Amino acid sequence: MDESIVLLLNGWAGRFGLFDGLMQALVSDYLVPVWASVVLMGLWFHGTTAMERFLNQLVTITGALAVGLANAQVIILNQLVFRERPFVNLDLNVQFYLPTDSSFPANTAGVGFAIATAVFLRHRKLGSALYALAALWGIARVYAGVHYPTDVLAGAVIGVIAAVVATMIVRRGAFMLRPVLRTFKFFYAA
Amino acid sequence: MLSEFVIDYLQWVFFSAFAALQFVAAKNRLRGLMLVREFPLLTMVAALVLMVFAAVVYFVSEPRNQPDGGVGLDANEQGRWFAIAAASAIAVTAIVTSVINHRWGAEHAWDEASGEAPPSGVAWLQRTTFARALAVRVRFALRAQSSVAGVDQSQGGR
Repeated sequence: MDESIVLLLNGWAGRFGLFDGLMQALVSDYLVPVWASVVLMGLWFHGTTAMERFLNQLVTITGALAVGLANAQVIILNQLVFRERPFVNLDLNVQFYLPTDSSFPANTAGVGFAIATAVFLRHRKLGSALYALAALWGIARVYAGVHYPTDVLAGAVIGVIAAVVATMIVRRGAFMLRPVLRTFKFFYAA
Repeated sequence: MLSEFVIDYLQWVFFSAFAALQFVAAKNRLRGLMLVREFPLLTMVAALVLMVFAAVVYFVSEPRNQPDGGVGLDANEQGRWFAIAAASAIAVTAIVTSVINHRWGAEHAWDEASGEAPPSGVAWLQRTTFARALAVRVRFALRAQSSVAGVDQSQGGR
């Protein structure tokens, strides 16, 4: 099942130049992280009341913490489970450089879904857009032949868990963040 | 010496962050942070266009799918360069908009003669520029410090 989905999606690779160009931008290590991080940065300054801005700033902090937690989980799992990349076992038209680390779980999905979940828990629409972006990133990785669908699925679950844990940590520690945020406010940076 | 890949990445993130700041400033009417205060809707559209344009230029100019152990950037490097580029975008936005909106900021500046503490927080940038807000804040802090020192001296003299 896993392999047949990879073969199905990767079968489209190399057929349409413009589509390939779009997918190569989407599959890259940069597009989704930069756009998602820019959204987090924007949230820091967004809000019509002081309380709204404070809650948005907590979302920014939560997103950053969630990415760290997701990465840590992926690093640990990479040590425990090694799965070869799809292009090693299948005859694929690879649209990416050839990574040598474990395919399982997909780090990219972990990062994308961690940020999307952190935002979604406060902003449903914006969070949904980030979920769509993270999902497209995962699909693009399968299309490019560097991940199996189950790698992406596992990464997504890790990202969601990381964000939920990060949200709990930040909510409980919000009182400790208040003095720091007050200092930022003092200098008109929050 | 920075590689061309890093410089391109910094430029892309800088313009994306700059655009995001303009979008948020326009949406929240933080006119002191806007390049064109009179047109918030136009600013939001232009900011989105700039974000997409910056990404297109980045990806079309060179092949970007490079191994992160080689030419490309690994997660730590990305985080570091992103922080530098985003912080630069914030600083440049604050400086440039303070210059552009210099006169407008003066019209709405805090009445320092009132003797009250100026408001804190980014919301105050709806009415003045970052530089003016910061200048008022620093002057108030210095005055408060000197008046405390004066009280201490007069109490010590008794």
